[in-house]
Amino acid sequence: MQRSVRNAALIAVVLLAVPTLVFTGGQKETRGEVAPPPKVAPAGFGGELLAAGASFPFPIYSKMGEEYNKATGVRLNYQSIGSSGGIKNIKNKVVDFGGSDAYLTDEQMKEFDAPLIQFPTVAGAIVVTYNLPGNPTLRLTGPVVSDLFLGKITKWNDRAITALNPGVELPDQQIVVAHRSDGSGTTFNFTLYLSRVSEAWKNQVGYNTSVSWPTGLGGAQNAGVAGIVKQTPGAVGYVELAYATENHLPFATMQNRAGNWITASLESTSAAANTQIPVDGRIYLGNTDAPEGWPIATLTWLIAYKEQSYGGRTLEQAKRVAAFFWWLIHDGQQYAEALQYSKLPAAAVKANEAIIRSLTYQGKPILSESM
Amino acid sequence: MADGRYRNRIRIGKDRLTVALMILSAAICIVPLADILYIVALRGFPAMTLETLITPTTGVAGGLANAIVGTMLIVAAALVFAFPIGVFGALFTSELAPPRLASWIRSSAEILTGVPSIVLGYFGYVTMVVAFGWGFSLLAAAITLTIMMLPYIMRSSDIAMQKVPAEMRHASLSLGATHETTAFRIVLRGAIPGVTTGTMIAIGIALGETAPLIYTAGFSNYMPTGKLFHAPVGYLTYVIWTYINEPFASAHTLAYAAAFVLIVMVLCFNAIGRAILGRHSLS
Repeated sequence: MQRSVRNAALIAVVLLAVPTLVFTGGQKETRGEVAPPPKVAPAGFGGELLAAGASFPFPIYSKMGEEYNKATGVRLNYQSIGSSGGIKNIKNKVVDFGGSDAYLTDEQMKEFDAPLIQFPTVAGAIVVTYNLPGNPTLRLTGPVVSDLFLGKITKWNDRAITALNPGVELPDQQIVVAHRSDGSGTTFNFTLYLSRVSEAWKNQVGYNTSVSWPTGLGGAQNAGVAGIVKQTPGAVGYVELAYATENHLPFATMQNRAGNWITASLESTSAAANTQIPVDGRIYLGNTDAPEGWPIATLTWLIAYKEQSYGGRTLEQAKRVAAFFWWLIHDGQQYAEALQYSKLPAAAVKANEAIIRSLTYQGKPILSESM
Repeated sequence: MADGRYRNRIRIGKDRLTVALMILSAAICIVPLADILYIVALRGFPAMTLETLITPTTGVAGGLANAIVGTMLIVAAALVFAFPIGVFGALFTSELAPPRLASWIRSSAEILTGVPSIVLGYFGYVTMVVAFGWGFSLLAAAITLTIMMLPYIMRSSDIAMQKVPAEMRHASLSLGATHETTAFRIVLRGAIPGVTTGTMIAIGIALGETAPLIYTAGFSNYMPTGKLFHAPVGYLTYVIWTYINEPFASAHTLAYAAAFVLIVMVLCFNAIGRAILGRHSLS
């Protein structure tokens, strides 16, 4: 009996030792491990940047991360878990910065224990797609789109639509609305636009990442909405411009606030940001007043703590964050259009420069004045 | 008298109908798997090259190297914890524990299998990633998967161990062997089929998990370095979910390729499990 008790004790010790050794062995690991020197080495050596957030900019941040890695050896990992995931992770200080398709409001910023900076990085667009015989390019206005999604216009040959499209043969067909069933920045920006162009929409539905749609079928992700539209004759839905162009979906030309008929494109999306950008970078482009701008343009933001010396972060790491932000709004922009994102116009870049310059480490600005 | 022939026909008819339903049910079990393999292979085919297996992901395309290695690393790390704890826990409940304690432990394990994986993932996030300060890390992911895998390994092992005849234990002890020798040499050896089955089920489940890993492993476009803390790890299920939702066709193809690789991995582990079972089957 004594031998088996001793054996039991030995077994218990071994079992406890394995994870303990692993844990304590792991404690020697520190952040900011230096990677092998990169082939091209301008300022800065290797290191890691961790980010998480909106899925809309995931492709462009990944591409930027890849190019930035080639230039500086810094490894950026951006995890696409949704805007709310990005905000949660930056609040918990698990990541260096978070990505969100909606900027933080003053109330939301109060929930953080330190001041933040937010700045827009790239622009995108949302388009209205539909399933009609012959795939015509329809002309629609904001109020008409609102009425479509409110369920007030029920047939394609309604006068509101035919009046705008004199040359198009519109069938006497029931309109089926397709919307997102999951929470999404795309829904947020689309419903924000509808709230800005339609009092009825604003009062009845409002805007959010997920709303109570008055009518229609829900699909998950852009693919889900596009799927419903493709399979249902007479369907209408909203998707990202990139999704529509990559998957060859027809989409409507729309009239913007200035009264011009605009076709959604990378240029018209950039043009939508040709408006007064506030110093804190917080502006939504829905129903922009820019004369040549696409009316349903969107921005996406990166969020970081203004004072970077929290939780034992090193100056090295703070410099990496600031340097990457600076690169992103300048050199990084060249990779946007190949992936169907629009570059920031010059006014937005200038506003962002000031925002990024406000990053501090122990009270001192991180970026030198010469940049 | 003619009534007898009629009744006989009904008997035969019922018999044939039942047989047909049995065959149909078996087919329904097999057809979806064949269909999934077919569609996934077809749509992932353009990305299924040697280059895909050795280059890492790039965000919209690239390869699967980091995801494949990451998946295997996370599951292997989880197994390092789950296997010994599961087997030893089962040994305890089947050999040493008083009956009431044993049944309480078994019930707890059953309940644990019912916990949604996303709850476990969030639990791992709140404790290990945030409170312990590990960040997105291999260890946080491994421990979360361990919690998922443990009950399967423990239950199968426990049932198999209980099936080892009591006479074998008595014989061993009466020959002078200790509890420990009896446990390892007699009971565990006899329970190898059950232990193997439980482990293979657990590995299969762990390979396909997404929700717990999203909260704990993060994702990385770079090959895993084996760092246990503060380093996110890539894995196949993330590629499948994230890339299928991107606008780009190259991303979709890679997602299907990742799905195909994952299914092949699960089938391989099943085959390994069967090989082990074949050599150790109780006759």
